[in-house]
Parts: sequence; C-alpha cells; structure tokens
Amino acid sequence: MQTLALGLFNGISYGMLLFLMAAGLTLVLSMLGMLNFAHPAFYMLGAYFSYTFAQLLGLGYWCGLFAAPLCCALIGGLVERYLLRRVIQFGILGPLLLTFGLGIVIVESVTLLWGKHSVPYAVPASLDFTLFSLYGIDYSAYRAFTLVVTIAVLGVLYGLLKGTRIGTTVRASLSHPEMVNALGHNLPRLRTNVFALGSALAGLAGALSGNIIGTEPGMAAQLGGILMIVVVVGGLGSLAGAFVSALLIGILQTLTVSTPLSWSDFLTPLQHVFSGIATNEALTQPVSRFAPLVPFAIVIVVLAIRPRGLMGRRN
Amino acid sequence: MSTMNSGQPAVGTPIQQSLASSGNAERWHAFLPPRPNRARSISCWGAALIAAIALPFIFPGTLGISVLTQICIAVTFALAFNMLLGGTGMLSFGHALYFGTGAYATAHFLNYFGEAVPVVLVPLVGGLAALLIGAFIALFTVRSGKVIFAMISLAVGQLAYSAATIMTGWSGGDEGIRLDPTQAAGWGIDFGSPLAVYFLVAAWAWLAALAMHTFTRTPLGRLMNATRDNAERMNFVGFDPVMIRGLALTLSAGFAGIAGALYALAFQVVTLDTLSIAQSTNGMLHTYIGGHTTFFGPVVGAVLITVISAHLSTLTDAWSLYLGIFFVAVVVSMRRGLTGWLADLSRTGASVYRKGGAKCVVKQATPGLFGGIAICAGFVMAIEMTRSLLEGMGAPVRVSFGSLGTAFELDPRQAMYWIFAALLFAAGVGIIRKRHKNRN
Amino acid sequence: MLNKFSPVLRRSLSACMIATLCALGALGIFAAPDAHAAPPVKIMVIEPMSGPQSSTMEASAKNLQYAVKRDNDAGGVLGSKIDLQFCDDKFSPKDGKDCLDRAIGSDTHFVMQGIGANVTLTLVDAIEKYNTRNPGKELILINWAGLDEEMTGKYCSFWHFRTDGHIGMKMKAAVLSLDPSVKRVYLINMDYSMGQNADAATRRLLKQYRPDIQIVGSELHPPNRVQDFTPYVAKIKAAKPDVILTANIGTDLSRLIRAGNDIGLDARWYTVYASQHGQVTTIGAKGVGKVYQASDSIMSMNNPVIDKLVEQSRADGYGDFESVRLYRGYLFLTDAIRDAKTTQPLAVAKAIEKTTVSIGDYKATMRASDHQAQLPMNLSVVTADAKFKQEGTPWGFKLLKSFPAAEMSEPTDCKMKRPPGA
Repeated sequence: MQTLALGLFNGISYGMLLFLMAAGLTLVLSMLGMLNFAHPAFYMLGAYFSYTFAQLLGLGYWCGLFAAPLCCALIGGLVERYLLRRVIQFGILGPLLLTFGLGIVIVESVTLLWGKHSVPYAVPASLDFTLFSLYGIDYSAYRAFTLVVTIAVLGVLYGLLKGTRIGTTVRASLSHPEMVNALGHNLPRLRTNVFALGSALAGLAGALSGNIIGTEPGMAAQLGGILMIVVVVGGLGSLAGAFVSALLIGILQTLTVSTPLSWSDFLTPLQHVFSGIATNEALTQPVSRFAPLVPFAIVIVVLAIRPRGLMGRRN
Repeated sequence: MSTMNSGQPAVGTPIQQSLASSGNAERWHAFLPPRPNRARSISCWGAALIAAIALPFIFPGTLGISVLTQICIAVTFALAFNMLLGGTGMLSFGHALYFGTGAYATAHFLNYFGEAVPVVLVPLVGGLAALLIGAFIALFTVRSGKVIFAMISLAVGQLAYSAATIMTGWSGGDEGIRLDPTQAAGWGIDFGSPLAVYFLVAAWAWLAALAMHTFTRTPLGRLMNATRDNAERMNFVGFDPVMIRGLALTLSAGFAGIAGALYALAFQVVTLDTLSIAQSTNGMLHTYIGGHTTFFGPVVGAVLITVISAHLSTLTDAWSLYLGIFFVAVVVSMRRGLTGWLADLSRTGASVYRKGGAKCVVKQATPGLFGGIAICAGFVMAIEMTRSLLEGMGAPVRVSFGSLGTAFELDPRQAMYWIFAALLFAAGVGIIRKRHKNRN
Repeated sequence: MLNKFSPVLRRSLSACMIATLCALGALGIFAAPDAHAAPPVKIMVIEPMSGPQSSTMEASAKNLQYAVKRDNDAGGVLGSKIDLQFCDDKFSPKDGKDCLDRAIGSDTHFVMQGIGANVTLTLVDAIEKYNTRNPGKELILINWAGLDEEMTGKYCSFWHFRTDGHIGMKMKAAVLSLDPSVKRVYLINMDYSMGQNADAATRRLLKQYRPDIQIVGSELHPPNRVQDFTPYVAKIKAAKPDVILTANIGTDLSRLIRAGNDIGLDARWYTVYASQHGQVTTIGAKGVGKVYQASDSIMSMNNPVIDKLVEQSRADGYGDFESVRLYRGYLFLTDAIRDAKTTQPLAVAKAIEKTTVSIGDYKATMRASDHQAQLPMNLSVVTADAKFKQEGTPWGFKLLKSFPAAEMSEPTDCKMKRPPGA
C-alpha cells in the first residue's frame, strides 16, 4: 500500500514535469502542424539561460526564471521567421529535418559556450526546504513550487486558447489558414508567435527543472525520446491527450521502478501449471530493471490499437 | 508524310495522320518515354566497379583502406535508407535497428557455425535476419501517416537499443561480440588481410547498389514512388498503400542488414553502437545532404560525409557543430541536396557559357566563391578562437595548410584577430549581397 | 527586406559550402605527414575528445600533456623526445579503429585508451590481429581506466596492459572498509556491463568477506537515461540500509546523490567515481562526511611527490592535476621503455610485465599472468578539511585508509596466448 501510494505520488510529480516539457511541443504541433525536434534543445537553452542570468550574472533566480523563457521565445521567433518559413514549402520532411539539424546545432553551441561539464545551476535558497514528509520521504518546497507553476501556466494557456479571440484565431488557422489570412489576420506573424510561445514553454520547463535534474550538455538528448513518445501516445495535436499520456507514462514508469516484484511473482498463481519456470534465472529478474522499456511498450501498444493516439483527431 | 496515298486529303490529328500514312507499328516508338540506354548504364556500373577495385591502390595504407571500407558500408546503408525516404516518402529515424540486427546476426552465425560457413556468402545471413525483423516491424508501424511513422521508428529503434543494453547475453553488452572471418571457410582467400576484406565489402556494396537500382525499375519500385507522391490515389487505382509501404520497409531493412553484415566483417567486433541513434542519424545525414530525390544522391553524400568525418575530427573538436550547420544549410537552401544543386549549377553554368563564354562564367562565379570562402573563414576562425579560449587555455589556434607548407597562428587573446574574423565575415556577406543586387 | 535576403542567404550558403568542401579537401585529404629528423617516441591517446563523453578528457588531457612536458624538459626518454598525439574516437569503435589505423600509418607503437569498454575491446581485437601479421611492428595498448573484469580475464591479451584496478578490486576496497557496525547494505548500479560487473562482484565479495551483512535490496537502472531518481531513492529509503554501494559514474551518480539528499536519505554512500570533475559541486554540503570513495587515487593522497605535482601543475597553468590514474599508465610505459633500453614493442611489452611504478612511496606492480596492475586502493571521504579542494568548492577528498596492493589482488581466469619470443 505504501509502495503504491508513494509510486502514485512520485509518478504524478514526474508526469507533470513531462507534461510541462511536452506542452510546448504539442502546442506547436497542433497549431503549426509541424513536429519540432529542436524542442529539447530549447529546454536545454532555458536551463542554461536561467543559470546564466541567475548565477553567472548574479541577478537572482526569479530574474532567471522570467528572462530564460523570454530569450527562448526570441530565438524561437527568429528561427521560425528566417528558417522554418523557407522549408515549410518542402513538404512534411522539411521542418522535421530542419528542426532536427537545429537541435544538433543548438546543443553543440551550448556545449561550446558553457563547457562540457554540468553547470552548478542551483535551487534558490528561499525554496530549499522540506515542505512535508510522506511515509518518511521528504518532499522539497521547490518541487511543490514547480508543480504549482506548471498547473498555473497550463491553466492560463488553456484559457487563452479556448476563451480569447486570439486563441480562436489560432485554432481557426489550423483548419482554414487561407480563410483566416483572407479575413485580415496576419497569419505568418501568428505562426511566428505560436512557435515563439512553444519555445518559451520549453525554456520555462528547463528553467524550472534544470536545477533538480542537472544542467549539462546531455540533457536534451536524454529528453528527446520520451517527449516524442508522450506526444504520440497522447495523440498528435491534443493538449489534453498529452496531459493524459504524460501522467500515464509517468505513473506507469514510476510504479514499475518502485515495485519490488519480479516476473516470476506474476507467474506464481500459475505455479502448478508451469512448475519450474518460475525459478528460471531470466524470470527472477526484477520488473524494475525493465522500467526504461515501459514508455516504448506503451507507445507500441497504443499505436497498434489506436493509431491516432489516445485523444488524437482523425486527420 | 501524306505522300503515300496521293490524291487523298489528310484527316485527323498529326499523330493519326502519321500513323495512318506509314501503317507501321514501329512509329509508336516516337511517343513512348525514352528507353534506358543499356550501353551507358552498363559502362557506368562497370566504371564504378573498376574504380572500387582501383581505389585501394591509389590510397594505400591501413587508414586509406579502412576509410574506403567504411565508405562502402555507408553507401549501402544510405541507399537502403533512401529506398524508404526518396523511394516511398517515409522517414525512418530508427533504421539502425536493421543495421545492428544484420551485424549481430552475422557475428553470431559466424561464431556458431564456424568452419562450415563460406565468408563470401555470409552477408546474406545478416540481410535475411534484418529482412525478417523489418517485416515484423512493418506489421504494426506502417498503417499511420508519415509523421507518426517517423516517431514510431524512433521509439522502436530506442527500444531495441535499450533492450540490447539490458540483455547482454546475446548482445555482448558494452564489450560486444567478436568474430574472426579467418575461422570460417575462406575459399582460399585470406580474410585476415584488410585488403581482402575491403574487396569483399566493395563487391557486396556494388551488388547491393545494383540490386537496389534495378529494383527501382521494377513495378513495385514504381508503385513505391507513386505511393510517395499520392497515397490516396493509389487506393483508388486499386493498390493498397499500406501493403506497398510494408514491402518497402521490409526490403529496405534487408539491404540495411547487408550493410550491417559488411560492418561486422570489416570491424570484426559488433557493439551496441550499431543500434544507436547516431548510426540512424548518419544514414539520414548522408542521404539528405547527398540528395534524396535521385538514386545516386545518397552515394555522393555517404562518400563525402564519411571522408569529411574521418578527417575533420583531427583538425578540430567542434566538428559536430560544423557538420550540424552544414546539414541545416543544406536543408534550408538545397532541397534536392548536393546532387540537385550541382545539377542546377551545371545547367546555369552551361547557359552562361553559351551566352558569354568562359570569361563570363568566371566573372559570375568568382564573387560567389570568394564571398563564400570569406564567410566560412571568418566564421570558422571565430568558432575556433572561442573554443580555444574556453577550453584550450587560450592557446593560439594553428591553421596549417600542410601540403602548401604554410601556417598561420591566431591568438584569441588579442582583439586584432577577432576584428579580422568579423571583417572577413562581413566582407563575404557584402560580396554576396552586392552580386545578388547586380544580378537583379 | 525579407525577400531580398532569402536568395542572398541561399546563395551565401551554397557558396560557403563549395568553398568549405574545397578547403577541406586541400587540408584533410592531401595533408602529408611531416618527417622528423630524430625519431621521437610516439604515443597516441585514443579517447573521446568531443561529444557527451569528452568531459573527462578535458582535464585529464592537460594533465598528461603536463607530464610529457616535464619529461621532455628533463631530456625525454632514452634521449628522444616524447610525441604525444590525441585522437578523437568519438566514443565509437569505428572511429577508435580509425585512430588505430592512424597510429599504424604514423609509425606509432604505443597506444593509450581507457574510456569506453566498447572501444577497448575493439582495439584489443584489432591489435591482436594486426600484431600477428606484422611481427616487429606491433602495437601495445595501455588501458588506463577500463573497469570490466573480463578485459584481464576472458579477453586478456599479451599486448594489452591495464594499469588501473578493475571494478572487482575497487568494490573489494569498498567492502573491506565497511566498519563492523554496518549490517544492512543496498546496491544500486547502472544497467550495462560495468554496472552489472560491479553488482556481481559486490555480491561475491560481501558473501566472501562480510557474510554477516544483509543485502536489503539491489537495483540496476538504465544508464544515462533516468532524469528523476526519486522513485529509486524512495525505494532505498524504505529499505533502511546503513550503507549504499554504487559504482555509478557521471550524471547518474550526481543525480542519484542529489535525489537522495532531497528526500532526506540518511545512509552513507560508498562510491567509486565521486571525485570526478563536477561531482563535488553537485554533491554539495549535504555530502560532507557521508560520501565515501574507494579508488586508486585522489588528489590529496598524503604523498609529497603527488602534492608537489598538483601544486606545480596549478602554478604552470595546466589546471588541477586530477588524473593520477592516467599519469600512472603513462609511467608504466615510460619506465618500461627505459628498462628495456629500446622502443621495440616486443621488448617493451616484456619489460612492462616486470615493471613497478613508484611515485614517492606509492608503488604499483604489473602482474605478468594477466597484465593487470596490482596497486593499493584507498578509501576517502568528502570533507571540508581536505588538503586540495576541488573545482573551487570548499570541499575535497581526504584519505581515510589505505589498502596494500597484496590485499587488493583478485584472482583471474586469464589464459594468455603469448606470441613467439615472449
């Protein structure tokens, strides 16, 4: 019971972190119809920028938290305006490959400028205390703060998209771009702004979690695979789907890690049928060892059953 | 044309007229697409084979032969990858799975069956194993659209890599699986010598390329192209695009497996790197930079990038940054890759030559060339000096042209060199802009 | 404005590319190697110099360059200068083999490599095959950091020498240094060859030397993939161990310990790689007195010769002399060349088998049966009163206990095939 409660709690916390990182990606995907492979790179930029503003320039954590997403938005806007616009006419592959290449360039540039080692991006002292303790595990106030900011930002985003006129325009431009253009809205600038917003969200995720997870050159590569899985499982372009899938993957993966069970434990009810198998060496491996395979298993199962993802729209 | 039946007025369209007047079925030839020139294609492939045989004697030495072997492997993999990308329009981010499968299958097969196995035929094993895996993967991945396929392939590739890391029983883990071709039946050839291994790899690469080229001429090859262009229409015409994509993936996997088997024979230790995302990325890089719209584009890309990667890392540590920027530049400005760009260049060059002669060509080309060199030089100087300052204790950057016997030293601690680099860059941009303004 | 720029951009990029290709062609393919007047002793170091694994070599390369500079200033080896070359293997066996081919092509017979078991075994395989076919021009591989026990066990080779302790020896130091009050131990390692090796070795050693200790849990986690170690450390905390034994490296170690600190995990950490560059900064104040390391060397080893080396290296602008490990591998090679009075590979290899490296009172001896160096291990802890602080933080590693080489020795199952004349 304790394992389950702890596992759920940790899983939700990890899942929310995943969702914050995936939200920007889903936004760009649903509004612009393109998959931004450079998203993990913007996440990395956010962490590094926040570190630079907060510690290298000595302006404090809060300045870093505000400045980093703004810098990422600026870079994202420039990228969209001068590079992405040119390759969209090349079909689906153009933006995919361009963002893939850009991701590499950004990561290499960051490594060049900030060094190959991890940088000491630290949790701010004002939030560095234990908020509460659950079954003997302390949870720091900073994690709670991250959770609150995530929920707040995404609530604002959801409200923006569903409630305001800008949001309606953006949603309309997905299905009827020419009409929106004809009605007098500046469609190219709208697209640039949406991409910038997506990059800003990635930067915010980086600024918030870079000090917990560690800010180092490999952070973008580690994140890339699982972000794609979250977005695909949720259904391309669905923010709610990304939310559900992030939580699902977070909880399942954490539960797999937390459990002390092994494969043979699952077979014990069938012991009389498969006698001797349960003691096989391969099956006494703990299930937790296969935790990294869980997201992949989920994506393969979901896509085999429901190719458009959990909540994706039929295209 | 209408002289045969004199006195009769000509009726119908010109085509009908000419057909009616000649009464000869051979006239259809004028209206069919041009037949492939058999003689030319045979001589091209023959020339390629002769070049492959001659190259190790032009670049002798262990490094030369090793790089040539790597080129052959990279060419095979890039062509297999392009069967999916250029041929069927599917971008596969996890193609290393089939490469690794081929490599591991070959290694295990050789180790297990030892003496009875003829080395010359062993790549078939790798190809077959990868083909089966490709068929299995195709069962559940090709139903969705292109973007989803790209991401599933990424997921499957990562899954295979993670699984191989955990299950070290059959992947050998970090240490890999060693194999020794000299333990198998060599049919009289000493496969301990790198030259012999190169000839085997080159022969197989040539055969695989020929097979893939012939395949593009078959009905299935054409169907794949059609699916790339308009899958919905394929449905209406009566073919199942899912089935065609599945077959494309299977065959592409098979050829990627052959490339993996060649890798196993060449390096004789198969490690997890054959399954890594870096391997998939390499294939994609080669194909796209070379040009995915032609058959030989990936060949050009593979040759170029393999040679550059082999030598660039000895010159600078920031080689992956340069390669990334190069890739982005190609994606942004050259849709059809280097081969497409060179084709365009030769066409415009020919037309300029026709208009104004050689002097005109030189006048048009030099500003662009110098501008380009200036931009690159300024940019590279800035990056190298930054790197030296931040990592190399501020040591002077040495630029040496070994074959020309000259060397320059750039000291990043002095502002003069930075200003020079900035000026060079600005000058290059200026020249290009001016030339563009003059042309319009 | 934008319209005018785009073709300009396109053309500049195209022009740049053709210029780059020409330049690279001139530089790379046709560059001829220089011919030296007096033949120097050439050593090639094959390591990842770029990419995610390159952070180790960033500091260690400078340490080796400093050692070579000191030797060259003092006259070199057997009257010849030492020519140190670094080749980037990009952490891949393919490029490692390219570097080896470069070594062969440039008449280099001494190769040093340690980071990446995948590269090491490819190199060993390639070197064995090459040496068999080219007697008199053989290559020797000095493995200065490899950890898998099989390198001097199942895969042992006459031409391969490991100058660092393997993971079994390091875990032995950790196990032997557990004080009698420790009764509950948790094992957590990275799920690849080295970590799996560490896990198996620790279990074996605990059963052999401390049967009273109960292993309350063990974990193998995916290497370089886990962002958030909270579920893992929650599991550890629930098992209530006295000591956590881990052979984690790099971000996996720093994230693990940081996660442990965050949830208030109170056990002691016995690690193998906590003194690597960057770790102490992440471990922070919460690790003082709780993070131990069992390893072959640290900066403050109570050895006056090493202390002087550290101080001089800092003074001469070559940074912190952190890598005694790499230096020791280099010393094995140069001492053997001096003993053999020749640079002939076979003679040097036979000499390395009998070499004892001394740095002050510190002695390491090569074992001829499997080419595994026998060296003392030590236990150290993160404190605020270490002699040399790391990375500009107020903390460093202080030596607690030293185990003599004889005690650290582990048996081997190596069946070495010796070439004719050895």
